[in-house]
Amino acid sequence: MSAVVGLAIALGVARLFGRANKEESRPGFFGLLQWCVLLVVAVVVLRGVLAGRPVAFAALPPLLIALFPWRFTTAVLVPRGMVRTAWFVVRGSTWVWFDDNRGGALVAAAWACLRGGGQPRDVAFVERRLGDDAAGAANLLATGLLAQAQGDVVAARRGIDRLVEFEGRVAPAQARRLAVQWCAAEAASRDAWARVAALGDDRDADATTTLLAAIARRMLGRAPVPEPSQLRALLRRVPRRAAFAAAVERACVHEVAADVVAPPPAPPAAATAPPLPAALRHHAALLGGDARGRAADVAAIEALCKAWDLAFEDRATAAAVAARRAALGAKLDPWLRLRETVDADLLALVHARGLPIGEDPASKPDSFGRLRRRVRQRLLDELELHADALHTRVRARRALPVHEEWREYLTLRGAYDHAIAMTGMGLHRLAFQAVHPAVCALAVWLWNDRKNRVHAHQMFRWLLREAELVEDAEAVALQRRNVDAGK
Amino acid sequence: MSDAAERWARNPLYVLELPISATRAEIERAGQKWLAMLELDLAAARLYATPLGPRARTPELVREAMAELREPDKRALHELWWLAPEDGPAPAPDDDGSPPDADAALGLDALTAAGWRRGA
Repeated sequence: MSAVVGLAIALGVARLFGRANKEESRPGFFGLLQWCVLLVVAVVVLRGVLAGRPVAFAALPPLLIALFPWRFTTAVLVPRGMVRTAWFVVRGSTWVWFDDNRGGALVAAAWACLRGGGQPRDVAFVERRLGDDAAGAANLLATGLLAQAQGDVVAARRGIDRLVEFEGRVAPAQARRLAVQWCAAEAASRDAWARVAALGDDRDADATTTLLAAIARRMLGRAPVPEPSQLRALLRRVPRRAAFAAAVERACVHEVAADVVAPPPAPPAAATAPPLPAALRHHAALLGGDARGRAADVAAIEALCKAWDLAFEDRATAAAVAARRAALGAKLDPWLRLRETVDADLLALVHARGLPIGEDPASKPDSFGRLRRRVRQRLLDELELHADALHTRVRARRALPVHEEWREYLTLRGAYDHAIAMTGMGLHRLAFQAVHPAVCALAVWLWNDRKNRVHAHQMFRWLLREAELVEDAEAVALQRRNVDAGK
Repeated sequence: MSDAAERWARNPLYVLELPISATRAEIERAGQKWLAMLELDLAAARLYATPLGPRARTPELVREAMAELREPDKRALHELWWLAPEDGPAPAPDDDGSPPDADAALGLDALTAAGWRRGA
């Protein structure tokens, strides 16, 4: 009985040392104390095992769990969705998560929550522990995993992707390592091989990420293309190799093709049908496409715009429409209304599908040029609205939990990236001017008043990079000072 | 369904199966005919053709179509959007039924394989 009590006290003390550990990149003083206690217990237990004492055999499992909490959690507790136990076990870890075992415990709990199917009480358990202003990178990863557990993979991708973009030293490094692996796995599930290959070069790529990146290079035929033997060698280093074995074999037999330059699109055939029915047929093909599964791309939209330009420029059609209007006694001009409806349809289509429509530097008066200008204006309006809402809230000092602040920043940044991707670099400067005051105010508030330096520093870094891209000297100087303050 | 697809599906000229040149009297006659057929639940009245394929016809849709065609401004616009249903949409240039980027599809559920998602 005294042996059991002694073991319980020793493990309890070791756990307390783990919770008290304060060292970002090494186990630290309390971490070493914890290992001293555990080693003494291990020696005692080992001697008991060698002496054949049953109590020593019973002490082995808790001792192994205390020695390797993260490995035990990911191998046993997470797959079974044991949220609370996972959180409890990792909270005393000192090696993998160093001083942020609080964040590590949160990651373990969120991961177990998603593997358990995102039960409401589990989600509530994790959420209750998310809203601390002192939270760091691990908190961000946990937020993303929780979004995935709730079925929102897009939000999860947005959140975890941004953690991958964290620059400089990130504590704990384990959070970023897991985030890189998650992003590679998620991209591979979508067959987004270019993204997977890029993640393979990340400084925190682990064995799983490296394997996925090698598969990606083979699928894309991108140098250096790994040989099947190299893929199988990488597979042997992956912890869950059985789950990847079939995919590796499929990748091995995949024909590696040289990069082929796509031929330029063929010019549209000369119009043989009257222009209005031809434009209508094109319009139905693209905008009725939701029901028929046809793809709309920018080239198809441009072709449709040209078809409409031909229709609207056709004098015979315009005359027939005017005559029909007179015969019906219509007061409004149907020709003008048709043009407005077509413009609205095309704008809605481009917006809904996020098509990279590009810019219109020459301000062409045709339908495609008009569409590009309207898309650009709408994106800019939306971005300004979004940034203004954030800025107003920051000025009013209406604080949100830090993970919500981060999510809001990511959403604004997502809208910013989306607007630039859809139009081009011409919008970049305007978009930066729209978001810079709001994001800077948020970051300064987080830094000065709320002492949340991890998130604020990343926001300053992003602002600095963007300011350099748009060559805004004043913003560059300001953000460089802010970034330097965090080094 | 997008706004454009909805516009075609509800175009009164398709709902009533009338040509653009239909007179006011023809519109009223067609409307009453479809309403009577729908009341008797005749199979021939249940569907109507549009360029995006057949759609279900209901008494509400028929009454709405009659009302739309009575207003000259609305009718003029519906006439412009009219396209012979048998013409259908123009074939998309790359509409060969193959998934995009089929060569690069591996069918690897890497999130599940790496333990980031619950397996089936």
